Amino acid sequence: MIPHERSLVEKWKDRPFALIGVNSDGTDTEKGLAEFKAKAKEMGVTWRSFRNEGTDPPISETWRVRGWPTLYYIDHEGVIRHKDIRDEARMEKVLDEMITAAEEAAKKQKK
Amino acid sequence: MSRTVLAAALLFVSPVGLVAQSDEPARATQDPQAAYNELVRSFAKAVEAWQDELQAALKKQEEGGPRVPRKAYRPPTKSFIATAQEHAQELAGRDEAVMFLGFILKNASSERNAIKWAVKTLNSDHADSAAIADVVDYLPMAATKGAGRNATKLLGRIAEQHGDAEVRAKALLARAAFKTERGDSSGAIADLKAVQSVSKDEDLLAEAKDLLAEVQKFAIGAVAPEIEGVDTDGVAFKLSDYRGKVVLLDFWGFW
Repeated sequence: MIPHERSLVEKWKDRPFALIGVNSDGTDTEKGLAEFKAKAKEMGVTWRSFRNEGTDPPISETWRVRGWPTLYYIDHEGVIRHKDIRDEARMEKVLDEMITAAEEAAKKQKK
Repeated sequence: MSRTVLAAALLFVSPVGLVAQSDEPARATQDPQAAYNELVRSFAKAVEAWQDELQAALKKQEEGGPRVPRKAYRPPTKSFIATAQEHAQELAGRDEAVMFLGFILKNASSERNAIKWAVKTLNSDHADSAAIADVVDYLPMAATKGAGRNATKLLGRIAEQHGDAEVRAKALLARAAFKTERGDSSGAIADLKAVQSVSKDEDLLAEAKDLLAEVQKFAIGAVAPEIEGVDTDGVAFKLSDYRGKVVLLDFWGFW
């Protein structure tokens, strides 16, 4: 999971793509944050995450998340396009299509 | 539940429930409702005692006492499920059996065979009865507790084929809630729309409307609701900061 995500972030770093996490590791305590940072460094997690418990109620409750990990694919206009695709090849295909659409929309706007 | 059914149920319950206090096990065939009330009352008492005991044991463990054994976490369901099963068997074929079968679906913990049996019996003897309306809410639980596809099939049968539209609507709503839990939002939306075309019950319609709005908020095709939060370093940011980019939103943790 994490190695693949890291490769996606790396691959698309110059294209309109962001991996945003909602993390449930309890980083609101000093101990939790220290453990999180050590692990993030070890695993090469460079992308940004919300603290799941940073809002009341937690983000996962508002979003009715029932299993982890849960994935939402949100396009450049903020519309949910897919959910929970976990197969790595399909993930890449779907995201690549979405990113291409985002780039085309940006080009049109410039014209 | 429609108002007339509710009123009838209340009439039936009120005087008997208060009288059934004796320690003699009530005879289900003579007075099913009294036997049921007695079962529910004694089960609630046992659960309360179990919770108190578990809490006391956990407190002792925290203070350095002995480790709480695994079996202490198990609710005391076994004998009550057995009693419910006996009563349901005594009443076999009569619709008064449904409340005992419902008790099993709702309260059984590790008694998987009892759950399977209860679902099978509901399906073969009571699927078209009016009484089945009172247990549809427990069928999703039964599905996750061991009855699996038989429970979801029965729920589907009631939702699609029951003779009373309000019973169908109640089953549709229960199935929609179950689908929502499972992340099947398009399935849930279809069931909730069906509730709206089938039911005239105001409470049920209001519930369906609320759930529909909630499910649609996070369904494919919806604009993702805003998230205003803080990142793991405590810096505030918003999901909409990333408009213009494709966002893969990942609920995750190392644990």
